[in-house]
Amino acid sequence: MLSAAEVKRLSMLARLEVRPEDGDRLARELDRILGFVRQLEAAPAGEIEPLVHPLDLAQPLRDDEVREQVDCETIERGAPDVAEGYYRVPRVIE
Amino acid sequence: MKSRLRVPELVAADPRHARSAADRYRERIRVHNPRLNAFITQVDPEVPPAAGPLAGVPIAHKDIFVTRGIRTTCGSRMLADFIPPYDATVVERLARAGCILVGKTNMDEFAMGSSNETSAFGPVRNPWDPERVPGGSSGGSAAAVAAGLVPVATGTDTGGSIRQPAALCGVTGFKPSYGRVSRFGMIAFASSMDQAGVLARSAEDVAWVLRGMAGHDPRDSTSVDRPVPDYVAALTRGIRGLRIGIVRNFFDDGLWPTVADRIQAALAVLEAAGARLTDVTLPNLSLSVPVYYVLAPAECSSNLARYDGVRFGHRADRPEDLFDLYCRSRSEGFGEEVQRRILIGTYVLSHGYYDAYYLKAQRVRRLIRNDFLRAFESVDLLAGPTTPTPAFRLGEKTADPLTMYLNDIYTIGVNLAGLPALSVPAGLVDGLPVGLQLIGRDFDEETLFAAAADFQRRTEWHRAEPPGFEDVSG
Repeated sequence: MLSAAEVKRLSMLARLEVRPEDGDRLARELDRILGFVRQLEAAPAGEIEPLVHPLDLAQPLRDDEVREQVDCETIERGAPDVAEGYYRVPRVIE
Repeated sequence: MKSRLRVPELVAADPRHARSAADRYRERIRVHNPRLNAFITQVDPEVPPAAGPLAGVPIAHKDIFVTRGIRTTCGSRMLADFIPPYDATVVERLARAGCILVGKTNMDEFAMGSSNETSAFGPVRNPWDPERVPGGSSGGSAAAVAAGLVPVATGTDTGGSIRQPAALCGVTGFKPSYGRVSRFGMIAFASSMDQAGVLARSAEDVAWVLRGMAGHDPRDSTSVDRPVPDYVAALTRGIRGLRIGIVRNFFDDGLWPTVADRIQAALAVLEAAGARLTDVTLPNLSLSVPVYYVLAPAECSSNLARYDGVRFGHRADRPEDLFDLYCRSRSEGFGEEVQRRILIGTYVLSHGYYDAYYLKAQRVRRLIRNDFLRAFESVDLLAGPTTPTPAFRLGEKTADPLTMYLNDIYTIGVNLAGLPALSVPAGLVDGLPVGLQLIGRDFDEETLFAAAADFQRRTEWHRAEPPGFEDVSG
């Protein structure tokens, strides 16, 4: 069973805020899903090569040239808070 | 065969038909959508001078495809006010082919769900029974096509999200091979499985639309650079001589006997058309749901890291500091199911668990793909039911995520393997549609079209219309 502390650590890693009153319910739900996927332990996969992706593709390279541009103003219009061409966030350095 | 996409012919005869077709479907959306909630955003379309093979065909895009200047939400509060600065390749290509965008369809949040109940914009209702789910995650597209609100809609399929709602709403849904259609501008969930496809009334209509959107895109390096065959030409090839493997695993304990009966009847139609049926067993297929629920959350936890409340999307009010800004923006913006999957993904990728979960799941993923490849050494197509049951009731499976996950038990393996597959209507059980699933070899969409079109020449199920939504003007 996942502990409340583990759920808290996971949510910190995932940058999610779990309300204290939701901690137990969430721990139970995650535990049940993890218990379900744990049946993979018994699968006879040995040292078979992992399949990361269905296509065997090499990373294609292209010329480093400017092709299309969405202008900064358009991009900024979608941002919650911008100033002078920068995204604005709470002070990071005290 | 009478196609729903007669619009281009009519437009060629009289260009004014494009405007009247768009208006007619917009009127149907206005009248019927309040009962279904199939659309998140309705668009008053610009109707350009008619041109292209799909000239004047009204289309709805799943709200996962970004549309320049038109709100794109992905079914999430996180993107409730997001206006994309560019078009997805699918959107751009279909517009160039002549399609007229009439709206963006409702969906499970970030495509994570099998019932459309995780949408931040409320659930979609199934036109065959408004107390039941349409399936998901492309439930809005499936319901809209089934109710005749639009002749064709796009969808995406990561674990069954086109085929499962197509089956539950009684429409034809096609998931192409991984790499067949560009993912550029398609909001990412699990990038090694996400693939765009089409929902329409018939395989013929799907073929016309897929031909317009498939093909290599330099902006998506996982889109494959090989020629797109003429899917429309493949429609007339017929079933005769095809070897079809019936996936015995799909006829297990979970399959409703009444659904099994419909599927057996559909298989008999294929056989009567000249297909040779054999039984096939895929030994590792039963592990596809657990593999998926390691890999899809892992990929999603990485893909959804971009929603940070800084560059676009929801931002929490009055954050104390940057960490608080991230955490609260994400927790307020994402719904429960999305947060659960991010946490599962974070867990299986974390130090100490990576080998046991993530790496192991990828090894089993190869076993599952190998099972399919071995089967295709002796058959041309695989067949079985798309879902174990018809549409279930709203709220019936929301209490337990695992019960919901198991609804995709017959569709998920295809995504792990990257194969093309479709669902076609195969009859009704208690007045609710049932889907026959056909699965093809890598990049052999043509054989799927050949078989599905022949099946639909011999059956009428794809013409059935849900009571109360009959499209009297045809």
